[in-house]
Amino acid sequence: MLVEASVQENIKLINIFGEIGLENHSEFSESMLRSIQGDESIILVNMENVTYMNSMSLGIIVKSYSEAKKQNKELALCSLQENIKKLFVITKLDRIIKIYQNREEAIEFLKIRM
Amino acid sequence: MTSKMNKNEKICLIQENRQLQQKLNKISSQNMDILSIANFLDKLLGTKDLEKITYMIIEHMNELFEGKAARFIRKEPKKDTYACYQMKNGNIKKTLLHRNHLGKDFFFMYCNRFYICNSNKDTSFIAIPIKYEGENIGLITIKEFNNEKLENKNTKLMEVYSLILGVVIKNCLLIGQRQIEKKIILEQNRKISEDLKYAKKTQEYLLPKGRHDFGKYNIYCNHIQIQCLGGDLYDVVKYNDNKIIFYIADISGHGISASLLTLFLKQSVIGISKSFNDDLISPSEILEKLYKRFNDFMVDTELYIGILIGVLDIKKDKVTIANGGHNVEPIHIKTNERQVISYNIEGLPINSWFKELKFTYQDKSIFLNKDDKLIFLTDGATEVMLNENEILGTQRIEKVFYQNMNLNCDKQFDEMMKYINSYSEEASIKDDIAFVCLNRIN
Repeated sequence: MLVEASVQENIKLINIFGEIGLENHSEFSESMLRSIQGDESIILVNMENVTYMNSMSLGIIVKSYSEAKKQNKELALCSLQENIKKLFVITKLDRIIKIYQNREEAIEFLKIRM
Repeated sequence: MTSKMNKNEKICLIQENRQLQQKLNKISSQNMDILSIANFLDKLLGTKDLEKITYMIIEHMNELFEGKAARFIRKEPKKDTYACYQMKNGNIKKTLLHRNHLGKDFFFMYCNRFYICNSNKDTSFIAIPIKYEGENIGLITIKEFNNEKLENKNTKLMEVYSLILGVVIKNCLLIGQRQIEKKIILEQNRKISEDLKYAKKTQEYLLPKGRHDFGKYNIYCNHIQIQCLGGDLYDVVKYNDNKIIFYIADISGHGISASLLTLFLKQSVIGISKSFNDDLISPSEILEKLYKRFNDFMVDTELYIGILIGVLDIKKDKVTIANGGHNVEPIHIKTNERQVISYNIEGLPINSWFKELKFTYQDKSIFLNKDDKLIFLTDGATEVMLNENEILGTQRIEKVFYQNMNLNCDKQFDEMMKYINSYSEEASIKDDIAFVCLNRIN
């Protein structure tokens, strides 16, 4: 698992790679909370390259979302694999955290909100 | 005149020669000392045992100054403890002292430089404090030493000794401290492992395997535990003669916190079910009350419960289900219609994420015909990795159930596990698997 942060058009882009499971749960939590820090008010988490995510990681995403909210920031997700998207739908989290089809669509929408 | 000059010159030359000889002797002696330090250091560096090193130091220092007695006090790896080595007539005796019992004899340990007292031969001593970056590591005292041995010594050498011995002993102390810490950690780990064994046994008691019979229905439960302490839980509670409450849950996380939450969940569901009036019990209301209870004490946002809870109405052959964020759909085997379907029931997990959020849980009714089965699983079964990018998924499991739809629940479980294990070479089961199967037998 790898978490990589960059800035694109004033949006903090967090790219996650690999599997998120029990073995890297703490690392993922720390990386996410560190990555949402910064001046950018919009954070986009690109999950295109996440092949597996356990239910525990859902809590970390929500924690990061809540942390971003506390800092008056907006956190959105994009490019979720079907099995991961299902996890957000079944838990109704897709109605709380904004999920975009892909990065391009996300950036287009989020730019307007800036 | 020339002869007289020559004589004077000769005298001068002799004197100069004598002085040079003396200087040479001193340099030679100092060189010997340096060689002696180098040899001594070589021996010290080849030894890692603190006890051996201490013996080597006290013997070497006593030999160096030809003392009648020597004493070396140094820190022990154990906090606030000192070891005192007394050397007399070639024998060394060791005693352990607490820091508070050091007394005035060890005053020189706190001095910054070495101290020589040679006014009286019987009471003469050399005190060399051993330090490491300002820390008082120890003190070497040589009593009734040979004063001649001191004459040609470069006093800077004493400081060199103090510095080198400080580094050597500090290294040994650090190694010793690590060993003590390692021992403590290993002991703690052993105790935790023992505790975990009991906790695991307790958790197994919470997850009884086997069949419960309720008239024309039976409910079969089984589980595979991958983690020492998992977060999967199921339970079957008889509400009254007509209604049975059952649920399957997955607590995010593993270990002690998740394990304790399983206890909370089990007790809460039993407690909440008692708060309803007779036949008016609904799973969605159980979840709402559970959500409230959870939020009364839980503040950690990473811990949450995904739970699928159902109430079986035996008379009406109806199962009412509500989902609190459980991520595997219930699977309905309609045996007589030769059909296997799954139900997408959505619902927020039992969590403490959004304090202000207003929401309700929804009930979903499913009617069961004779020989129908309703199966509930945890994601350990569906999230088996087939390869780097693909998980097993619910659909493949549904196919297994379809192929074995006439089998009883226990056999369905066995077939499912056989199927999952058939991928064992490439796949890996990452999580615990829990299985609850409700079967209408007539």
